[in-house]
Amino acid sequence: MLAAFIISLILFSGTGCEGLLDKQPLTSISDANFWTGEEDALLALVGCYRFPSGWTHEDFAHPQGLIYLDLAGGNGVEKENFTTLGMATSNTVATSGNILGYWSNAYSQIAHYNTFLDKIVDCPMNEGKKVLWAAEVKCLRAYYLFYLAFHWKDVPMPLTTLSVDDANSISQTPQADVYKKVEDDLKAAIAILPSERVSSEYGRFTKGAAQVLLSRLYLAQGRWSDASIVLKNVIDSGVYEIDRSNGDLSYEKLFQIGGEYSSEMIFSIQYLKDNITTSRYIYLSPEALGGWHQFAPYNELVKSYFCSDGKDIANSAVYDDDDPYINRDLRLYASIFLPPLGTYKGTTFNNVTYNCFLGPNKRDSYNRYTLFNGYCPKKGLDASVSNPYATYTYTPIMRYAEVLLSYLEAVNERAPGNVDQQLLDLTINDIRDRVNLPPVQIADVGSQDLVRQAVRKERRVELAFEGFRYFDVLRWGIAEQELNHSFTGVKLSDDPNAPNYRGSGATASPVDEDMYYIFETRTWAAHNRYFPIPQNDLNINKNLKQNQGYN
Amino acid sequence: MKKIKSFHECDFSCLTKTFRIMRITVFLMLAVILQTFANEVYSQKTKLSLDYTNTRLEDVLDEIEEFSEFFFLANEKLVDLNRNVNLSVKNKKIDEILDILFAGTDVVYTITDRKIILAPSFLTEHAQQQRTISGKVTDSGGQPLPGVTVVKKGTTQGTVTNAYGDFSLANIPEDATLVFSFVGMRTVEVVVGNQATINVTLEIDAIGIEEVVAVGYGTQRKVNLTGSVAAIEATDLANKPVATTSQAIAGLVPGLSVVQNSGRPGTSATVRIRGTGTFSSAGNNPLVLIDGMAGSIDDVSPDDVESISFLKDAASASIYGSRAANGVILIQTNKGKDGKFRVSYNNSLGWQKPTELPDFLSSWEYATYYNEAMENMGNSAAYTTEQIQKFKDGSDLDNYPNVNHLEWLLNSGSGFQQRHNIGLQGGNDRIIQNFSIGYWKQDGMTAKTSNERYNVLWNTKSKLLESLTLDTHLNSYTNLYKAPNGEPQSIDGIIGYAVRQGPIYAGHKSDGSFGYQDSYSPEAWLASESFVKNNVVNITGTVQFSWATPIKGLSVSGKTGITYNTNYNKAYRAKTYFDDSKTVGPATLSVVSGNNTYKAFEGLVKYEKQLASHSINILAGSTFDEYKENYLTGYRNTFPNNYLYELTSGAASSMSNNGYSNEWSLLSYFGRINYSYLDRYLMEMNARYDGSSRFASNGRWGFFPSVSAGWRISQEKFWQNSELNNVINNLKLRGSWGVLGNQNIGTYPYQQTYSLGQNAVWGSPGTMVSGARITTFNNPEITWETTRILNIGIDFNLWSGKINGGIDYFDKYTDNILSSVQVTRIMGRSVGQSNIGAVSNKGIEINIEYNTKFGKDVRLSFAPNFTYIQNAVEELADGALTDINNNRIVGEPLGIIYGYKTNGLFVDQDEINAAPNQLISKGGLKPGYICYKDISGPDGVPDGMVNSTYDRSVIGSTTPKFYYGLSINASYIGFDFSALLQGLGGHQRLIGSYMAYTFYNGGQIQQWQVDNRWTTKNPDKWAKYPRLETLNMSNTNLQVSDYWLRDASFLRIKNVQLGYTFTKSFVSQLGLQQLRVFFSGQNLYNFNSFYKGWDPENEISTGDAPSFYPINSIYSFGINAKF
Repeated sequence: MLAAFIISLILFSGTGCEGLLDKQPLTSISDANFWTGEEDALLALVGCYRFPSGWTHEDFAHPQGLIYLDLAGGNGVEKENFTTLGMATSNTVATSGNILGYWSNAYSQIAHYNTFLDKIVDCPMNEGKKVLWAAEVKCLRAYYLFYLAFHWKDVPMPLTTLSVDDANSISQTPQADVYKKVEDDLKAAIAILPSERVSSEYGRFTKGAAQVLLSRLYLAQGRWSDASIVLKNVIDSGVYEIDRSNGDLSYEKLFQIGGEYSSEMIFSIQYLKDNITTSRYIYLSPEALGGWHQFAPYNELVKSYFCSDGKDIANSAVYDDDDPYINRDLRLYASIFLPPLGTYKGTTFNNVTYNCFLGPNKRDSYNRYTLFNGYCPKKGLDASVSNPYATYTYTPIMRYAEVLLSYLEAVNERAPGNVDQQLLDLTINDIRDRVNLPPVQIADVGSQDLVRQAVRKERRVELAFEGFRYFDVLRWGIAEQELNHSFTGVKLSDDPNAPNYRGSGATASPVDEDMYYIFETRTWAAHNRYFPIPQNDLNINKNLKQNQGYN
Repeated sequence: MKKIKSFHECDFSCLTKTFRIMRITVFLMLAVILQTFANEVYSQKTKLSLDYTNTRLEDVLDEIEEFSEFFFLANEKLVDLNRNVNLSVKNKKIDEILDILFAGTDVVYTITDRKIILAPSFLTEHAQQQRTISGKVTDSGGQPLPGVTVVKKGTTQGTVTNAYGDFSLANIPEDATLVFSFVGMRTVEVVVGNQATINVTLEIDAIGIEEVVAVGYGTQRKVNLTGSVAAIEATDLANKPVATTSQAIAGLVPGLSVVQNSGRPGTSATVRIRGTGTFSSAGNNPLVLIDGMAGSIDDVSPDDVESISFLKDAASASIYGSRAANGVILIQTNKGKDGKFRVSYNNSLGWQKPTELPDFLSSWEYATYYNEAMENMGNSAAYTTEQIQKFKDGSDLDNYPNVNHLEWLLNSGSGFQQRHNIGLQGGNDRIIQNFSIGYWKQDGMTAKTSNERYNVLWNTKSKLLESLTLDTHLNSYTNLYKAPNGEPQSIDGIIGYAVRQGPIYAGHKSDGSFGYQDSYSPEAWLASESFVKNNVVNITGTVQFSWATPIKGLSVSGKTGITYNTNYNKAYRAKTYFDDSKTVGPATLSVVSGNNTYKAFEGLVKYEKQLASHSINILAGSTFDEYKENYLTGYRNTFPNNYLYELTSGAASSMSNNGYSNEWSLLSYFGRINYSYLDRYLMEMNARYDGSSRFASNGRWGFFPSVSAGWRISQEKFWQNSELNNVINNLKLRGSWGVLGNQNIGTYPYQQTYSLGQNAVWGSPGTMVSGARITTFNNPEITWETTRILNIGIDFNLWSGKINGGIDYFDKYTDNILSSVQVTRIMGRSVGQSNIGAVSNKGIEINIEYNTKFGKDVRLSFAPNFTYIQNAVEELADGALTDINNNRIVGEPLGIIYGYKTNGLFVDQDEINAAPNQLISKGGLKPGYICYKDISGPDGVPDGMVNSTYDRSVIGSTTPKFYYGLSINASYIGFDFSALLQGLGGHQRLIGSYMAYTFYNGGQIQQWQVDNRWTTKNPDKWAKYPRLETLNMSNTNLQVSDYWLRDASFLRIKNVQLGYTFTKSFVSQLGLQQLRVFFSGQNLYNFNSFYKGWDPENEISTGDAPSFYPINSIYSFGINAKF
């Protein structure tokens, strides 16, 4: 009996059959069981619409990534200098972690799109949907491919799932060919995508979104005629209109929660409270509101906002150099925290009044960090979000104001003679009217260059912090002027009794001739037009060639 | 307690021959136990049943030793052990048996407890020689020793002691030296001089005892080991004021590296056997078996350890096959020694403080140097003279504070720790039990941080039948870790940010608010109700039946064991007040509840056969292991107040949950053959055949064989007859080769899977839609990592055990390393494991032990050990020679530091102009910046510009090349002293960000930076700190370069212990058997040339989210009492 017991123990372990060793995953689906029908394809399609969230920052479709691109274009700086020195200055190096971030996240998204496009071909499902869904995913891919080519010039262009060998040997495709592929895919998609979505599908690519993306490509290439045609189509579709639903607060509210459903929204990324969120507000908010006050908008941006009479500060009758924050464009108040100065009482948000003149070591103090300057961005901040680490405010990617301004620009560049009052009213004045600014009169913009200046100024302030500025200064070829000088912050004073007293003698804060705080000097060289190919990938793929000017 | 074997072919002079290498501490313990527990009961109680026909007497005595705790001492020249005897007894006492065995011979026996001395009867009569010199030989317990050889040194003139231990020798001149020797005892030499009477006490020689060490699925006599196995005993771990067994083994064993990364309560040390074998996720952790069950080294309290074996080479480890590539650690827990009832109580109380702390400047100095940095950057000063004055005079501490946040934080906790352990042993001749209960609590140096543990061990060994033994083993513990929570969500992170937060930020302000930087304030987070709590309950139970079958030498055993582990982790971040403008919220709560079950079944068959001079042992077995884990997580935020922190209290709208499971299994067949001839020529073969669920069915099975051999040269006649034998008493050569595997690579690594939960938000209004995508690209063809180890070793004893030691050379080669192949980011996905690459570790291990004695009472021993390991990457994927992104280069060790070489600092603009183009344009460079060297270019020669492709090279390595330890033990009457020094060397480290750079992202400045900085007044090219500026990650000075590299070698006074044992007469008045008090200090001092204020052993993650917990020095005292 005893022997039997022990022997059975031994046999139990010894005769363990092969089946004991078959273990299947318990929380994911194995490849072999996937792509069996439309439900699987839909799961994969949703997977394609998942954009980087959380603490991922460097991405062309992440709110923080877009702010970085805006600051890089001369609208401001990051407290710890992640963006400007790392990405868009003559000090940019190929080992920049930020640049690698944008590059990696773009290719990561593209890989998901390519797998989807490879696999859906053989998925048993409705053919119409198959074509339509593939077209959407190609639009998503076009978005990332476009930004890769725009910022790095010649880039690898994978169009199918890569093997490891492929990824380590793929060569760069000339920028023109990438642009061509983007154009072809978008054109094909425009032909079949719906103009509008049923409410349950809201947020997916539409014809209008594909057209706007195509227009960006044309603008980047200087193809003004093509741009004006595709943009005119968007305008004529009648789907979109400038959002005036909140009166004077329309512009400010547009970027807060709910703005994603606005009549002006063409494409945006939505999040969900407690589930899919970003870390945007902890970076964005001033210290007075519990944030890190990570960004400092330049005074150069503040100055470019109009005055309430519609004129810029150099020409406005209502502008007082000693009282610079009063009588200004509503968009300035909606976009930037301004300190109390002169008759301006300081920006109040959620019952907290912003002040950068509380003294050394005090919150938001204009020189508390080397790269503080007194200002803080405000656009998009929504008081109802209580947890700044888990921001669920949506991210606008394309909206109608962009269409109107791009259209005016394209027409003016292609055929300045076609710019008339009617066109101005249709485009720039529609936008200005929302923020109570008087219309631009054709008489005041009597030359192509004056229209160009007007549209560029409007674009800078209307689209501030939405990720357009670096794109714009690069394609306009003005980066060398715009990014090669000292930058300033709030206005200071030599009056020892003024709250913004700058101190005296050697310890006085430096100011420019208008008494604005000088706090940073940036340099930008011609070769910075393109980012360096990340050293990480150059180390592995010997077929990649570094862009000119980078060591 | 191991047995003494005394039967050897040897001549007169080799009676002193000794075999065993053991520390004097063990020897002391042994001697104590022999005295303390000596009693007549055992020999009276123990009954044996034996049946032999025509068997050599030696074999019969061997077997009695095997089946009982008796051991025999005899002089083989005087007692004939080769004669054949017949014996058939049932349930007889030992004296009855001996009477039968020696009936009709002149041999008489003396039984003292378990010790049986055999000697010819003539010795019991009075010595017949003329007495010129006479005396008595006794053992340390005062018992007379018969049969001791006494010879005049250098001659054959001599005698042996009689039954009363008496001897006498005639014609001995005054200048003669008498040598007293007896197997199992340490030889004593006495100069005669004018003495007429010489009384000698011989002591049991630790090295005369053949230690038995645990090996895979059994035990082996150490002298017969052919593999490389190191063993330590309970005494090596005793009374160290550390929480975990992993920390307690540091520095004790060659080939073993133990690195204590952190002083956080409850943290394990990182244990490596013979270097870093792989860079894969399979990892470098050795397989740990606790009484045969796989587990973690820290599942066992140091108090419960009886012994630990480290199986270092392939021959000893290959019986564990696919899990043994990183070596195997076998832990035996206390089993109970005999039936005697014993109670012991041990405790220790201690206090911790950080080993090193950075020296931050005070706030007025901070402001002063901040202004200098501003000036150096062309900016204006940030602080006025008046403000600096306010910092200095402390008149307005809310606005002009001076707070060392790190120091405050590390003094916020008591740092008190205590340990208590009660042990009970008892039983009878059929059942022996050992029971212990322990309590250990360590309060952190930081407030609200603690680790508390209870453990219970219960081992029983029962003889159900004469032939059937049942062993049961129950080991359980509960562990509760508590820590503050905040932003960041760990105490390590809170400490990391306290390094950043300058003295100019207030801590506690007078109005009850807190100063802070961004969201970081240790004061505010510690004041909040936030917490982290981790609760673990772990229970392991095993049952083993062993049956000695009727077939002689054949035994079988079956064993089954289960480990059940539950963990319940809670992290609550309260709504936290900083000041009126900042309250961080809402409150959030995450709960993770998990459990895992590990089941193991084992069947073994053993067969032993002794044929004249041949000895064969055969082992065959099979095991099946299965593991499954389940996790459930829940989250909610927004709680009614800060004191409600159960999930249901949170807002229902915020709730989310998650769950996952994993499982794996392993089926194995294995076997071993040991063969020895004349105890001189030893051979062993092992093999294991493993099937793992982690691989696809076609590549699931792996075969792991090994062979080893040993030659005990000192057993050879030629050796024993030579003069060499007087110096080298024991010498063994051994060699081994074998293959091991590593399969610890995630549960389903070969399957391509779509991960679920890749959701997005669609719709108006937006709702979550479910999505899926492939996040990792897996390779279906992966298979085992294999490690081949060649080991050659030598063991020796010199001068009768004064010096013992061993030297091993090993060559360990791991290939098919499972790792993600390097891939560009263009791939778009992480890539799963493939069998790429190889790593080698070649090295030498040396351990020496030197025992000596001064006068009568002072004993001293030194035991240094030293290991040198040359680690190198041998192969990377697809024949690549470099994988820069992962810091791997063929021919270089793992953990290299790859960066720029520098040529000091630029002293002036001229030097900048003349230098090769640097990483940034020359317009951006200033005197006092780091000058990078142009070492190469596209054509293989310097090209006039510094660039990341051509001008970076290997500038250092974080992998230590050698590690060493030194144990010193000394005793004097009741006092005992021990010290352990431990060191690592030949490696470098960088620290970074807030820890190394001034004002980094708003961080601090340290004294060493100021003292060594480059200044315009003193533009020292070789200054240790560059031009003072505020820095951030993009700064050109902060590239990885040799400028920031520091030697991370260190020598640490790891442990010092001083104890006093009270005299027996004193303690017996207290009703005790033994009482010892001790002081013990851990990590008392560290010699190094690392960054000032930073411990080179401390793991410090830098970057922009720094975190660490300082290693601590511990001062403790306690008592050891036996009742």
